[in-house]
Amino acid sequence: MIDKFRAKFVEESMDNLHDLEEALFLLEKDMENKELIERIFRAMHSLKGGGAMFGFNHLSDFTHHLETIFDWVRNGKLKVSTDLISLTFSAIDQINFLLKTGDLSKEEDIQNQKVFIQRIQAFLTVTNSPSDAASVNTASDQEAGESEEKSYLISFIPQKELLQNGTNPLYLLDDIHALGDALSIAYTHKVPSLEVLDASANYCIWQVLVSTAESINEIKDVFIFVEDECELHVDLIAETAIVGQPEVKALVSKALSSNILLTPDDFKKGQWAPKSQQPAVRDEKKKVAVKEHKISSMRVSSHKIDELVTLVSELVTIQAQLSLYAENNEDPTIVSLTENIQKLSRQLRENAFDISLIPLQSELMRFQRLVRDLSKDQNKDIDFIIEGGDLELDKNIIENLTDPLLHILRNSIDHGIELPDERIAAGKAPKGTILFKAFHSGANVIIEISDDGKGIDPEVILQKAIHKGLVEADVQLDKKEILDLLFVSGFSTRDVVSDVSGRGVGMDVVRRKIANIRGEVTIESEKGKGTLISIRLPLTLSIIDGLLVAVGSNQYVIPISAIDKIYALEPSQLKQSFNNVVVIDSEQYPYIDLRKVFQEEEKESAEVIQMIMVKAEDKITGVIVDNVIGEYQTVVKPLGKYLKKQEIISGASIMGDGTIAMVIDTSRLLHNRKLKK
Amino acid sequence: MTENFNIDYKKNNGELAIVFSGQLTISSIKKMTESLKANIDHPEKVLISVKDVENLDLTFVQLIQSIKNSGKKNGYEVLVSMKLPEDLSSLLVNAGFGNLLQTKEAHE
Amino acid sequence: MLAEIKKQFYNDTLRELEGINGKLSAEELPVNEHAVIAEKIFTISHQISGTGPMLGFNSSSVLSRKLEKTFYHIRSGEREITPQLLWQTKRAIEAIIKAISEENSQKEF
Repeated sequence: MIDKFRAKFVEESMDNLHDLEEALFLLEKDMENKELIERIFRAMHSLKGGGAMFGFNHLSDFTHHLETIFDWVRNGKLKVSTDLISLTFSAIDQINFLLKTGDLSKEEDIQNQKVFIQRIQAFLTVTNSPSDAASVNTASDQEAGESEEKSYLISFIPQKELLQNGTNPLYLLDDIHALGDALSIAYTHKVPSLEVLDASANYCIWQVLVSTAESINEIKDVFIFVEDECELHVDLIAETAIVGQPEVKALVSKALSSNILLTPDDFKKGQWAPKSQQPAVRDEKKKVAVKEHKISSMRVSSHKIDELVTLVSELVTIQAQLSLYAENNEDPTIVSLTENIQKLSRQLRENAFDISLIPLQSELMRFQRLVRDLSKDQNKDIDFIIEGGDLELDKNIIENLTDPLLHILRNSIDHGIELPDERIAAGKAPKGTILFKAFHSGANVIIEISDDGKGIDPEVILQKAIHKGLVEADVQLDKKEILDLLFVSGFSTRDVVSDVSGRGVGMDVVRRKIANIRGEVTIESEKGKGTLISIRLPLTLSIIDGLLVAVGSNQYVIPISAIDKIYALEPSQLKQSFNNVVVIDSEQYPYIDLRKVFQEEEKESAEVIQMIMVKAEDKITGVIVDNVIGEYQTVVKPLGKYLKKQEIISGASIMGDGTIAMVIDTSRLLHNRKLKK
Repeated sequence: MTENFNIDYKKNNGELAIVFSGQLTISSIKKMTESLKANIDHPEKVLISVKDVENLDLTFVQLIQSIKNSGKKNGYEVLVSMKLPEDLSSLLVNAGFGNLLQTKEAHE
Repeated sequence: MLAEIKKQFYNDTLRELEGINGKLSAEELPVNEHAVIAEKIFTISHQISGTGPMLGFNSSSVLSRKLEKTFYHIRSGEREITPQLLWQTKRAIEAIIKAISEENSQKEF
């Protein structure tokens, strides 16, 4: 587990270093730039912290000294100079080295690092100016100040819903008492009489006075998981401990008897509060600063966008329920209101999904670096060409796509592109090419990764599959079917797990991960010429146009995009069928009965059999359902790892009436059938 | 599901004695409220006692407060006495409900 | 089939939550374990808030979304882990365990 985080830390730190280098270049041109200095300081700080956390002790130690330097710089104790910038540049190389090797073991390396640290420290002592002593004093003053107790007024005004999700506010108030001397005031005047009491709602308001040495953030942290359900104010009311003083007690009992909440002003009159005006002043400053800027675009945390999309998805579901209700009620006012809401929610949905699209570009840097680094490691010469990097995709798709793409690229570099002399011997240019191409195709996005390497020999794959017992020795498969074996779990073309693309994960994982985001992956390859891997993806994950069908007592959704035609067949047509193949319009089609797939009871003979013709990977297969209910635009929720067993279900969807329909992954459905055969 | 709380009512002339025990928390608060609404029928005085408590949360505190407020509104006196384990009584004091533990008089 | 998914979800989630809760109960969690536990809490809360509502775990999902949000900020370095935060996390996880157990015994499809 920790290894995974370590790797992630290294990866992120590399990005960090990149940033650091950039900031340093800029600082060289503008040596007084506070923002850049802060950026560099923060980068060092997180390298130090992360290093210690993930067992890079030498890195942590090393960056600690650099952090100190830039702490001095940002506090004005040290000036940026060309020397300092050069030192930091070479420090970046050292950090890079430490990230790659981990803790140093060679005596020589350890000595080098020691010397380097001395160079940094020398910097600190040489520039030790007289003003320094003074600053050290202020620092210790601050620390002394911080350890003293201050008093705060906490106003905790929860909404009625506070108690609904298991929150117990009594615990929170108790936790405040654990921070220091505290006094709670519970205002219960809003609790109604028994006749109208909603017993599970909250009616109380609290104010707590606390004297503590802890910071204001520590106090706020107590309420961290209720902050959406309450109004919370924490105000500094005195620089000393005042809880328990008689004046305070008097204020408290006055508040309790009058049911009027205390305000920070109430404590101003006391002699204990010389600095209580500060927060207000700071707030005003903030307001002024905001007014001065007009902002044309802003950064929003991806989490907030996820939340927005979730909420909009829920709105779409509720709106469907409303439409259903309106249909059944025939009240013209409701019908017309519903139509308006439908229009609005459609617009809102489109807007929200548009916001959640991000350009593929954002991940491409990583791919470029991967290709550059790996090809260097393996002495291969590779041109990495990107087309369509500005294409936009759902953020969640991109997130889930990165790993499979990295894996495919690693495969291309590791197994595909040959060494330069091998390429020359094969009559190719010594430099190999990997082409990364992304483009729209209807409602889908296609990503193709192709290389001009040595390709895949189908014969080798087939033999391997036979050897592994994945297929019978006498099996007759065409080339496409053979290449498809690469995606079968348990297949790996190399016995020795390679350092690069091996790692125990195969193409089966790639296919599964891509299927999780409702994508399809296919492979084509020509021995000696190269390999093309093609990924077909939906534009968004959350909404699909589906056909709602019934099988047994359950409802299922089949994506419209996968449906070719729907036939109503006579039962006799099936009775004549042999080996699950049906003849329609003198064409033969294999078919699947969903009742069997979902282990429903055999249906008593129906008059008409509904067969949906589903296409996947250029083939059409019939799927028998009990009933076709109709087209349905639906919000899909992933069920994550709980569907591994139920491979053919890709998600679930809440219908207008609140029931649940499961979304069928048609390509898996057809795929599974093939394997069973 | 068997109830994990208990409410006893004893009527003596105009005086209604109510005894709460068990799990006095949000999961059964609705049932408790219904029971109280059905059983508090124009008393002259209500004596609430709370004992053998396994657990207790804000909803119960509010319920007690609500009975008191009803009493104020409908003109009957409400007296509360609570016997709580150490941890629960300190929880109530720290949450500002210490007055419930010492109440002898009806109206706050 | 949904009932089976639900059962599996419940069992897995409960085991994971109790594991985390056990860790958080330790007197003081060593700083070097913070990143690991933060990742774990983020993952499990993401799981519950994403999958839970589909399976009828509504109340536990609401709570999980809060944890998810907070630990999202921690992962991205916008927020720091403090002892108080871990303590409140423990409270939240206990509330989720309670809610999820109640929801599991109440609702049937």
